Amino acid sequence: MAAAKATLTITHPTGLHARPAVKLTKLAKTFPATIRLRPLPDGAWIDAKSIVKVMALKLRTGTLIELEAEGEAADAAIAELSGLVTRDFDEDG
Amino acid sequence: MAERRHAGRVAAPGLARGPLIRLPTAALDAPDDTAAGDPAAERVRLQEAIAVARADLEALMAGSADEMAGEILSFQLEMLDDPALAEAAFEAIAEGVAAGTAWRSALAMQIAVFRADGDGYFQARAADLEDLRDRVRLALDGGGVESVPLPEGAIVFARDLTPSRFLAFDWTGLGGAALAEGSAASHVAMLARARGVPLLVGLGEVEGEAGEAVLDAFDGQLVLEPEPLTAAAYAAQLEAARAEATAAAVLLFRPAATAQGQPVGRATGSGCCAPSSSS
Repeated sequence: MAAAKATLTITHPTGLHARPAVKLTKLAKTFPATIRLRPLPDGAWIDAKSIVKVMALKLRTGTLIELEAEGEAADAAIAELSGLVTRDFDEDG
Repeated sequence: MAERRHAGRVAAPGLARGPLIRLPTAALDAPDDTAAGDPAAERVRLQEAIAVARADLEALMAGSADEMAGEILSFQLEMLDDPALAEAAFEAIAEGVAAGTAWRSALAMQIAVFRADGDGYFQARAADLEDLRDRVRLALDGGGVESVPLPEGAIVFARDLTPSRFLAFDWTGLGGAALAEGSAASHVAMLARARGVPLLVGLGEVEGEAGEAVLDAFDGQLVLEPEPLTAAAYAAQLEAARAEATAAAVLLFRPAATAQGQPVGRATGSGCCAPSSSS
């Protein structure tokens, strides 16, 4: 199975709060691949399709995260999710 | 009974006069059902209650065009759709716990995580989870969204209002809201300000049933059964505010003119770039 990875920094000023988190999980759910996320350096992996788990991480701005996808369209999933995070979730601030 | 005044904090400014209607909270204050039925049946009860809550939220979403309401409701829907939200509740049910108790304790753990956070953004999520907790609990009790008959101009009194409960009312026909608890920094306060609904919070317990009241969300006062003089003063103030609003509306739609009646051209983008006459 193809696996893809990316390391990213949350640069959205208010961190991964409700609206960005909804965008992230909604996008992740469009891919059949298993997608995991963890805060670096040593956070536990959580399901990136679960808003409950993503929100519970309470990721602040400046946090380094790792994304990992496994399975069908894993590369595309990582590319699109990375894009969303680096674009600050398509928000002004 | 004589006139009574309760001081609160202004969360959204405005003035209203009308009957004070108390929202029932009995369903939420009632202790959880402790007698658990068969786990399979309890499981179905919770699944059905979550489905009812989901349908309610979708209906609210369809009826709320503004961005702030949409944002709050879409976040709540995404939470409710996530199996992780009720995972612990279903585990407890499998061990023989009643649906209501299982749901409440599963949510309590998650609410505590956000409540304890120092960051305002994450702290505010606790209110969203409480909103979901209450909505599903009401559905478990078979009540769903409470339907209280509210007369025209009513001032809604409640211990607190959750965002989805606030959005369930058609405020255009209502006077405003008075809350025993609540916060001026809550989502409900933001929604009230955005919609021009007068809102007072932190009033404490208010005695008495559905009497006449004045909601003075300029001065931070709820006046119950106002004396004739008080009522007349507020009536005059309301009348003045109404006249002012009407005048403003008339001015908005009347073509601009000078005091002598000369029409004044509208300021348009072209004004700045008209060819100079000095050349």
